[in-house]
Amino acid sequence: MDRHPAPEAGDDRVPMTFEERNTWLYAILVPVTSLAYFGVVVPRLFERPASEVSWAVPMLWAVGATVVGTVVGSIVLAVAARDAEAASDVRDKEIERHGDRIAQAITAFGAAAVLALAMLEVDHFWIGNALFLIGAVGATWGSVAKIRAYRGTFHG
Amino acid sequence: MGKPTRVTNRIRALRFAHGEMTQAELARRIGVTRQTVIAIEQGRYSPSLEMAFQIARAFEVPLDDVFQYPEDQD
Repeated sequence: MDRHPAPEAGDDRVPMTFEERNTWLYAILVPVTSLAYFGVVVPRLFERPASEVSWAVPMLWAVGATVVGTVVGSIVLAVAARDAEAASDVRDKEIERHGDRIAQAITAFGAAAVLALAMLEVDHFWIGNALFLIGAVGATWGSVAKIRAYRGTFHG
Repeated sequence: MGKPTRVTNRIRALRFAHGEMTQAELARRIGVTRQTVIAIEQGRYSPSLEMAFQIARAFEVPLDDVFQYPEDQD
């Protein structure tokens, strides 16, 4: 019999680290702002040709909302959590690199698709929106990969 | 999701044997978050060799008192 029985697992419930909270924030914000953008722009596509659809301003709003939402949300969550786990450690950095690698792979694949669109000389609308979509999918997928690494098994 | 590691550890038992050291205290000693200590304890994260030595040093035991790797079955 073990002379030192292991303590109960009751102390395993801990709040998320600062980095994990920010990853959740990003994983929610990016799809929300991207869907809001496409919710505004796609209906316009049914009303007029792609070359006449105004998309740059809504896209800038979506990008701006993501950036501002990430910064403000990160501050609010840090204040609300009020814990001592604000610092990131080596595991956070490894998980960040893991997620970024996945996001970059998707973005690289998408960049090839956008290059093909440019070669076909399609309207700017399709090139700009394909880039935006690929960026959103890559960022979201990368964040989901990070969350899976935080919640599940991650061996670098 | 990554494959589970074959490396096992006795961190939980060693913490208990060392005055019921908390995960937070061990985390502070090796310079990581408490969540990382939990992930290592549960075999969900493999620490670097350097961190493994730091954990062993925190308990003042040799490395293989903390981490074990099973013999091949065949």
